[in-house]
Amino acid sequence: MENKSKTKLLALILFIASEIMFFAGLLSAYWVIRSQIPNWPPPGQPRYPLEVTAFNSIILFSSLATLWMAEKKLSLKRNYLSWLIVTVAAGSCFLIIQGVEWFRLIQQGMGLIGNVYGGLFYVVVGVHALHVAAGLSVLIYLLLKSLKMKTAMESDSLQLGKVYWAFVVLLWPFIYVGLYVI
Amino acid sequence: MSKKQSFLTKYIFSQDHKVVGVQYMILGLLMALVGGYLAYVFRYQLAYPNQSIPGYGVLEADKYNSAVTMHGTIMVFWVAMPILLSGFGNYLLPLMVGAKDMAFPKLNMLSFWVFFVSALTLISSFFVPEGAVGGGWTTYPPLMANPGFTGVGWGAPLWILAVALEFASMLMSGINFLTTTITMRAKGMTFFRMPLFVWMANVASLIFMFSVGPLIAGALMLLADQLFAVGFFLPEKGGDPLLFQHLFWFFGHPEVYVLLLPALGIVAEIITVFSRKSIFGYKMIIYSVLVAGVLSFLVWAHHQFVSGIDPRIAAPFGLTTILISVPFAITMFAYIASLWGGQVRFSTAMLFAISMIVEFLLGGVTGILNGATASDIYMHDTYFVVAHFHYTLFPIVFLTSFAGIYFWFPKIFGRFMNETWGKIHFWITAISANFVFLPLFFVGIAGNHRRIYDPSLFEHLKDFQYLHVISTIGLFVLIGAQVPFILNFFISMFKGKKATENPWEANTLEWQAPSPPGHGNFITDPVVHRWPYDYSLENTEKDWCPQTEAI
Ligand SMILES: [Cu+2]
Repeated sequence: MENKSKTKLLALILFIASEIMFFAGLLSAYWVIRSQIPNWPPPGQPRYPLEVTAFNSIILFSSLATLWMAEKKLSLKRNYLSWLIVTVAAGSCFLIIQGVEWFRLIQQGMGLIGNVYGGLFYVVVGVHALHVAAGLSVLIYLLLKSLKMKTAMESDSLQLGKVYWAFVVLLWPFIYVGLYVI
Repeated sequence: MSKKQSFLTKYIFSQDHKVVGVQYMILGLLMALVGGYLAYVFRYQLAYPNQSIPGYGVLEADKYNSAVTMHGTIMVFWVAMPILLSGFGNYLLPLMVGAKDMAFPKLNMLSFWVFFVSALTLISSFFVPEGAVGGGWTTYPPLMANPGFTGVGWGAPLWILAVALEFASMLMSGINFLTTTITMRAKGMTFFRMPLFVWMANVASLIFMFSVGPLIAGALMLLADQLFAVGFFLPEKGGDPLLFQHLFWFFGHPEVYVLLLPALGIVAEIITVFSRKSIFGYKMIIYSVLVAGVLSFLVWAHHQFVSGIDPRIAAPFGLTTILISVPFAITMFAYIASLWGGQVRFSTAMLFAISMIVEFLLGGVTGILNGATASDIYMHDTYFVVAHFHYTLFPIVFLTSFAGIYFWFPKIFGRFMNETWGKIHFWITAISANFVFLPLFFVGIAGNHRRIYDPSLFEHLKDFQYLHVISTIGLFVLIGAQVPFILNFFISMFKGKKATENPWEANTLEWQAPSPPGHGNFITDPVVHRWPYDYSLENTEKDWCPQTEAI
């Protein structure tokens, strides 16, 4: 059984490796196009939301810390559920704030049609948001399962969830710095 | 009712790696019929322009573009990859490392059914309004980014969807191959006791997994261009069409090795068995392939020498391209050295394997002319390039697959294929293929651009029309030669001569399992004592030594 979970971890790492190449491709495409556009942001377009997203990044990072705490508590056979709930809440919070910002940008006239500036934002940030949603669904699934079974979950499944979540969170600074800050 | 269910779980929704492998092979062969039919249609047009094609009708110019595009797409993604990597890989890999099944059998089943859906999606694009996509298998923008140019509304997004599903399926297979090889090897099966095919399939999976991401990123942006008219790849919107070419070929060149490596693995297993000699330079081959795997990520821009990239970028890519031929030259020489002085048994499988080496060498050598920037600027986008990559891909995809099928058929179905019909199949296939592709070098040098619908319209090509006719007649023969193969395949499945466990007297583990192996593969768990290439050892009465035999 212990062996099987190692195999699963290996499979997940291989999957994440190909995901990293995907984001590397996406971000280099972003840089190539951006370097050819003289005015960034183009006239009449809003700046990508720097400040709100800084706050949102802190939320995302704290969710990794709380998940780490949950795993630690589980290994000590203490109450880990509350930490897991906080993690799920923080992750959802991140997604909601991102969504609200999208609405604001659309209202400010950052469309998709014929707008490479807007398109890059929606594709890169949108794809990351989908990954956050996927990671979040895994965590919610683990949470519901352990609430239903009323026994502590296997630490292996939580570990797999944590590795994927760590990938999603640690990816974010590259996007935040590349798109919002610089 | 219960009997029907067991048929369903045994042959249709099976988690057994062997059934999944055979499913991949058969679907790949069916798709090859579609790809071959398309080749027949556009080759007919090229030899006899604007005449009614038997079994199709008159081929319009836009449908010509669709036929060429879909031929390339199908042969690379729906024939080569599923047969060579997923088909043989799934069937052989667990057996060769001595495992009972893949690490994730359910994921394996899922990967096949995702592949099945991807094939349906691709085929369905023939029947949507405006038909299948016609922008070439490389799907370059701005042609592909703007429906206004091609008139293709539905075909292009469906193409992207189908390819994305296919890649998802290959990703699942690749993860399974690597985890199975790393964690499930039999006792005593060290990495350097693994058959070359296992090495090759794993390196190919790694190359695929590290190269496919950037293409998916490009495809996603292309899809956004098609559906929402964003303009990522349209210069007038501030986008960059060259960017897509970079993303495509960052994947596209390594993809060549995703196909080549499993083929080299299959050929290695076959030539050692039938020359009764150990492989020459086992570790050297492995290291060469690893080096080539890394280099394959550094050559992509050689596809773009005439696309307007900076010559200062072109030069280093020309250099890496020449460099990458070195490890493959080493591998090829190792194979030839393995044949040298052996007691060669000319079975059908062996004939196909040898012909693969011979024809692939011609493809490899002509590639150097494309890799060198100076000659490529003249050759680029002519039939010379078409001839070159068909001389690599035809041996990789078809000659190797046939070799593998004739070789492992007794293991898979417990019966032999007919050798006489096999040899008839071999000789006609191997010879007629040269009639198809050799003339194309010459029309290419004569200046025939590869995407011309009707070469007879061009004054400078009129004298070379007879070469197109030879090529097309060669194709008729080549396609006809597959009839005995198909009949042989299905008749032998039920009526062929019964095979024993190890009919070819081979060393690798799959020949220690029953023919065909049951679910779970081995009767007793194999223990490995030696590498797989101990043939014709001194002081032994038989000239082979299975990996399970103690030293
Ligand atoms: Cu290439």
